[in-house]
Amino acid sequence: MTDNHYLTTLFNPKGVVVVGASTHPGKFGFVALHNILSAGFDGPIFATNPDKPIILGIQAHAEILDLPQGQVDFAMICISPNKIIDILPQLAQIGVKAAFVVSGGFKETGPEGEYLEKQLVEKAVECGIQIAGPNGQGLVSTPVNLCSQIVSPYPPEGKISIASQSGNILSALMNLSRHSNVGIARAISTGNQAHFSVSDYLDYFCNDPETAVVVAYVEGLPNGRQFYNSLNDTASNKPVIVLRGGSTKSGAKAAASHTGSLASDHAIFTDMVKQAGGYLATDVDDAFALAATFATQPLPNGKNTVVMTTAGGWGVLTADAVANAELELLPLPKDLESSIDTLLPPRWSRNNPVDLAGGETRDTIPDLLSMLLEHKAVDSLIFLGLGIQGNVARSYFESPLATDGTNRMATFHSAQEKRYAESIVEAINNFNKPVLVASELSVADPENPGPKSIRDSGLMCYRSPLVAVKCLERLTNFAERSTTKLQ
Amino acid sequence: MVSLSEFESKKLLHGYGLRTTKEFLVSSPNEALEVAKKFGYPVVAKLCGEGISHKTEINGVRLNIQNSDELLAAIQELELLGDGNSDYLIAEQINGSREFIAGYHIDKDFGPVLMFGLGGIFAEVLADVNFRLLPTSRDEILTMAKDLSGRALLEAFRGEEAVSIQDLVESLEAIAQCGLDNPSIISIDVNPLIISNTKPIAVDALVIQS
Repeated sequence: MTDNHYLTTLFNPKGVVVVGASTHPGKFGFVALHNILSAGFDGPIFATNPDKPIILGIQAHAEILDLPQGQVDFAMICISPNKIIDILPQLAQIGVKAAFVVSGGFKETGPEGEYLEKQLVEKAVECGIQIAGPNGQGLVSTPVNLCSQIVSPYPPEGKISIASQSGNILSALMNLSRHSNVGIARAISTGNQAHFSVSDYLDYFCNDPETAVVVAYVEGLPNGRQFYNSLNDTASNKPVIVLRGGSTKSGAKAAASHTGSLASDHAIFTDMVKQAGGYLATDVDDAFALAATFATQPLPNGKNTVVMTTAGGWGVLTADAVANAELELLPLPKDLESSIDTLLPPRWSRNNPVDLAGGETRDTIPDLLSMLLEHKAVDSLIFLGLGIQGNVARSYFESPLATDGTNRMATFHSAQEKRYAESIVEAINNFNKPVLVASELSVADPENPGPKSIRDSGLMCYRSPLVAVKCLERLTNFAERSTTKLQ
Repeated sequence: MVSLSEFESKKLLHGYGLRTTKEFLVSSPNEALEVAKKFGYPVVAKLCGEGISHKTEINGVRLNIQNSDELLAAIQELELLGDGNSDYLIAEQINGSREFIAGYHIDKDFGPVLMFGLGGIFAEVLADVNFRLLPTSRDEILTMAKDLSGRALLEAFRGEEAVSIQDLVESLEAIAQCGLDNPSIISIDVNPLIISNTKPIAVDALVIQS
């Protein structure tokens, strides 16, 4: 059980101390305390600083041993590297069980730093403190409102958990989380991975009830087999997305052979992820879009996909993408076609993509959406064209020629967009089938009421239908694998 | 690093159930003629000895030898390429238009790994190969084969029947087992693995030990 996992305290502390809190808003020791306070951490918050200043309303203590006994189990350490080892026993004494070391000056600096890092781990183990980092930017755990990091941002709450070998990539993923409003559960920058590697975090996420989807960013792997094993275990439980940076020359000992020369580092890595049941993302955007898909969409029952669109070109491109993916562009069953006839004027596409060809009236879109999803042959749906009316609304609102008439129309359009978005969310819940909404307006005009309402509901609005298709393909693959496993 | 000769490599792999070409190691033209007579022409003659791991690069292979005169001529040519201590491998000629490559090696990050992909002279250019960490299941080996970009080559092709997947998977398992059972082996190359009458057969192999 996750409660007994060795990393439970790290992600679910009861009380926090920032060791080396600073009065200077430019210093890590200030930023860390600020972020912990501003995110509204659930438990008591302490700070240490030898000068005992009041920082952000918190009275800092000069010594760790001045802190009350048993109120703090997690320390965010921001002091110089050579001082950390000496304070670990004191932290242990007041009840600290887990710590994140932000400070650099360890392995990344050379042999001396490497030696210091080894000593740090030894001392931490001796003191019974689970130590993350060093040389990392911190961690986030939204279930306890913890933002213990020396950078921004703090993402919305959600089901995605991330372990990243790069703080920069971790921030990028969290920025995308804020942008799309698809939230995060846990996120940790692994730093030098002195004691815990990405594998340990995967292991924790595997049984963490707050985590539904896992993202791992890795560069070098300290122990490839261990990573494979953790990935394999975790991926058999929940979707795991792997993003990889850096490709080194193959160190295969067998360079004299064909096998050796073909066995590039990346070729084996790619197949290893596949074998373990993970999904290899092509870039940060892809990783996040896929994670968001797993976090927000129900699993489809099969590959039969319908593309529903209010306008032409994107529908055609999307149909091509569906056909090229491991998905089926469902040929419309006759009974469904007849039903659609009752809703749309005769010029509709009579085919998949279901192109309304501008034939919608006030309630057409919500009604058609329900009709499509209700049909047993339909497994999932890609919805295009959201935001087109909102776009008109924007032109009218901003128009130098605005009249009462245009304003009324703009208000109606905006309300309609919101209604479409709400009906999509409702349909997903009613029919328990995935509906992926895509529009370039989600980035081109994020305030457009269509994409905005989707976002406000906590769903992802994909920046392109092609991204949506790629995500749906892997969602469907995962669903199939899960079903096979149950049989 | 020690390479086993082609003959020894194949013998070892054959012991694990990999189909290999019928062949004899001979040291004289007369022995070669005797063997060829036993097999029936056409035959293949190759230089075989220590340090001759890339025979095609030194042009140490003679294919499709039709009669005794051609065989004697071939042996004479090969003798000039060898170091004087080399033997000759006389093997049956295997015909098949589909060549694959299979291999095993110890990866520095992941340990023992099995490889399978498109073989022949374009193997390294096309690099259409897949890997699986070992040990692994039969299903994964099957997936690894079916995930090739050139997977259509496993189906019926140019008048040849589809590859027997069962035999293919068993061949790959044999290579994997051979590697896993012998910790001194750091790499196994089977190239080409030719499809003959639906079954894969190892026409050349190289085992390297630490």
